[in-house]
Amino acid sequence: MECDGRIKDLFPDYHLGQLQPEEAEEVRRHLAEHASCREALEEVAEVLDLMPFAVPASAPPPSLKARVLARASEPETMESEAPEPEDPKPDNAPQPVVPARTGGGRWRIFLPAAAGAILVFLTVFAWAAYLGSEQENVRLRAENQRLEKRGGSSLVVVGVEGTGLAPEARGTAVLDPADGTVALDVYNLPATPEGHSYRAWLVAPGGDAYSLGTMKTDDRGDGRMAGRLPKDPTPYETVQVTTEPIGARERAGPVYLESGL
Amino acid sequence: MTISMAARNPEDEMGHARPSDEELMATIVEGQESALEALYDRYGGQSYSLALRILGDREAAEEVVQDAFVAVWRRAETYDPHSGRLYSWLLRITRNRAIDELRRRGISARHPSVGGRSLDSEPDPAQDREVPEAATSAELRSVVGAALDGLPHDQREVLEMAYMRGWSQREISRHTGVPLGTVKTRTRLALKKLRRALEPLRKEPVDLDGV
Repeated sequence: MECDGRIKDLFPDYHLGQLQPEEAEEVRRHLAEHASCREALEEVAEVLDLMPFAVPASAPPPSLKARVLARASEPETMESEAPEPEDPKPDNAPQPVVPARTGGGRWRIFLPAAAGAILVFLTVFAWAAYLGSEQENVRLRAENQRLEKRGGSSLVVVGVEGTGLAPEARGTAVLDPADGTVALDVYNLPATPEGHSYRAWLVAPGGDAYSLGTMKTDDRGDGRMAGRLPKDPTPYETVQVTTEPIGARERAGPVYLESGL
Repeated sequence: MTISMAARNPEDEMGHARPSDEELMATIVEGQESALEALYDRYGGQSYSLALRILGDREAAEEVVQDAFVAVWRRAETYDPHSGRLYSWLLRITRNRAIDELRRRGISARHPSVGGRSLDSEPDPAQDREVPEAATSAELRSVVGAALDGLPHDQREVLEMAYMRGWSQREISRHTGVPLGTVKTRTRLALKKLRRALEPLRKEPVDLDGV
């Protein structure tokens, strides 16, 4: 095939992996023989690869980093290893042997490391028991082991328990003072009264409360939210979730979830 | 034309040189989890933003980001810096995983806009806060955004449908009723104009850290 417009018009779909197999093979064969078309494809790729930067920035939940690192620590057999088209060197080479992973060392101390490790241990296993999924248990065990190894980690994972108003409710709060963020995932909360929403708080022993933000739940009572920690979180010793009238900024409603820090 | 976006190698707050993408990747190959963490700090936000834009679903976007970083972690040895930049590789994986998920769900009727927001969650300043960005990454967004905004609507639309929805040119033609030849022409013109508009990126290296 000559280097005509027809073959070049296939380059965008080829780069994005959107050609039919026979067309993709045709392009591959052509590229193998035509250096100028390889260059033209590279130019198309460079422009298309910038498309993500036209997307407005959204902040991922603070807990996502911990989950990414936990997933990376899982046994490799749990991950599909089929070759992927996005691989810049799609040569179907054997998967590399994963070397022994070593822990990172950038986390700064927030709570005493020992107390943190105990909290993580209890929280993660309580959560695993709640979920009752063996696969989830494996994942969480790996996460727990990883977090335990990080003696100086600033990441604080706290299990929150339902009060008498929501005995079936559970959740996990992940606080990252280094980033100043907090994420809360909850399950099995009852529906809020009309005109009310759930609101998460940090509460100090004297009763001072800092609002972490509101949270919606779905029809199963599951919800999640992300918020900012106060500049100095040390006076606060409890995480609570209450129901408050929509728009209210004061903590006055009944407590549905609670945990000490 | 080669768009040069060599990541700078600036210093951290302690005055230490921050590792380049290539150095980071070499450390990942050695199995240093701290390097994966650094990679996430550098590109996690961009990966999440892209997945969220394609899927419009926070939970699914988080799954995609996890998949993408784990793929990079486990296949780090297959990364060839001569075949493309690290962020291109990571974001390509992110995009492909998100498109796969979109197809799996059969969400083909969505019309995500590259520049607009389509999230249906309750507005909450904590959730919708903007990611703090380095000036240089904001600059990159500004240049790319302006380049796309400068395209005629029909040209921009074909690129968005191809990239954000995973439609081939043939599928775009079928869904929109626009003749395939016209779709090809619009795509060709759009890419040509974008290349020209993105020319400033050639002149100055862009620090992508923290995007």
